[in-house]
Amino acid sequence: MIGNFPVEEIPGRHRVFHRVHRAFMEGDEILPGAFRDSGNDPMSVDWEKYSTAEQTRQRARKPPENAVVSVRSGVIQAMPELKLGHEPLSDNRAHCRVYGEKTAKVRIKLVEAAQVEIRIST
Amino acid sequence: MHATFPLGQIFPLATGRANSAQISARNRASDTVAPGQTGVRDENSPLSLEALPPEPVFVHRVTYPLTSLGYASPAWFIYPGIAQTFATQKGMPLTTVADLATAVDRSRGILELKNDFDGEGSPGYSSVTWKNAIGVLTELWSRAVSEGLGGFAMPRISPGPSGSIDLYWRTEAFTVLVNIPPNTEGGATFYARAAGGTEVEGSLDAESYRTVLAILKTE
Repeated sequence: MIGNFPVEEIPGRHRVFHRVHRAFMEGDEILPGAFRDSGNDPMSVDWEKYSTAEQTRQRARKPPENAVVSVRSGVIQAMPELKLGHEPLSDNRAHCRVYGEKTAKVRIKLVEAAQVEIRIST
Repeated sequence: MHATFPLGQIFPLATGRANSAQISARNRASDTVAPGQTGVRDENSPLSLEALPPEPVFVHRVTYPLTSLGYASPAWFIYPGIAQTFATQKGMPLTTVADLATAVDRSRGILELKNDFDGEGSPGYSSVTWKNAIGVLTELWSRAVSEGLGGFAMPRISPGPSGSIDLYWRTEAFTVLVNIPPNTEGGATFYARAAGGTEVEGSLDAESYRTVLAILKTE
C-alpha cells in the first residue's frame, strides 16, 4: 500500500504512458532522449488502468508542450536492465516508475517499442 | 596521456577565406592546453558560442582532448563559407561537407534549452557538452575521410538525458546512438546495430570508433 492505493502487478499486455517534452520529439518521431530519469528519481510513467493518455499530458506543467507516448509494460518487463514498479501517488493512482540505467541501448529499445498517443499541440 | 597541443582560435574572415599560412600563424600564437585540462574554454573565452557570428564564414581548427579516449583528437569545424575549399583539399564530395556544417549549425538550438526547460527539472545543455558532441562527430567524420570510407549520413544532434547530448542515426540499414555526457563527466558511450543483426555497445574509444564507422557505412 502506498498512500491510499494498493500496489498492483502490471500485466504485460497493458500500456504505460510517458510524457515527452517537445525538445525530445522531431515531428512525430520520438528521440532517444525522451526516455530519461527525472532528476534523481527514476523515469515516471502512468498505467493505462488508471489513466488516459490525455490525463498523463495534463499532469505536465505545460501540457501543450508535451506529447504522450505509450509502451507495452511487457516490453519494459522483458528488458533485464529495467524494472517497472507500480508506485501510486496520493493524487495519481496510475503512477509507476521505471528503474534502471537508461543506457543508449535501453533508450533505443524503448524508442522502437513506443507509439505516439498524443502529438504536440500546434 | 595528454599531449600539449595548440588550441585554435576563431577568426571571422570578412572574405570568408584564409590561406593556410594565416591559419597556421594564428594557431602558433594561440594558447596551449596543459596535461589534464580540456581543450574547451569557459563561456567567457574567445571560444564561447556567443562569439560565433550568426552566419559562420570561417574555418576553425581546434584540437579537443576527448578525455574519454585518453588522447587529443583533431577536430575540424567547417563552416559553409569555406566548405568548398576544404572539400577540394580533402577530395570529398561537397555535399558531405555541407551536410556536416549544416548539422553542426542546426544543433546550436540545444543550447537554448535551459534548466527545467521541460518543467520536469531536467538540466539545460552546456556549451562544453555541445562542443564535446561536435568534437566526437567531427572525429568520426575525419576518420571516415582518412580511412577512405567517404562521408556518412548526418545524425540528429539531439538533447539527451540529464544534460547529455545524443548523436542519433536511424536508417533502414542501421541504428546508432552515441551519447556524450554532460560537461566532462566520463566518456562517451554508444549503441550500434546493423540491420543484419550485428549489435555492439560500450564506451567510445579508439577501437570502437572503427566499429561505429563500419556500421555507419552499412548499406
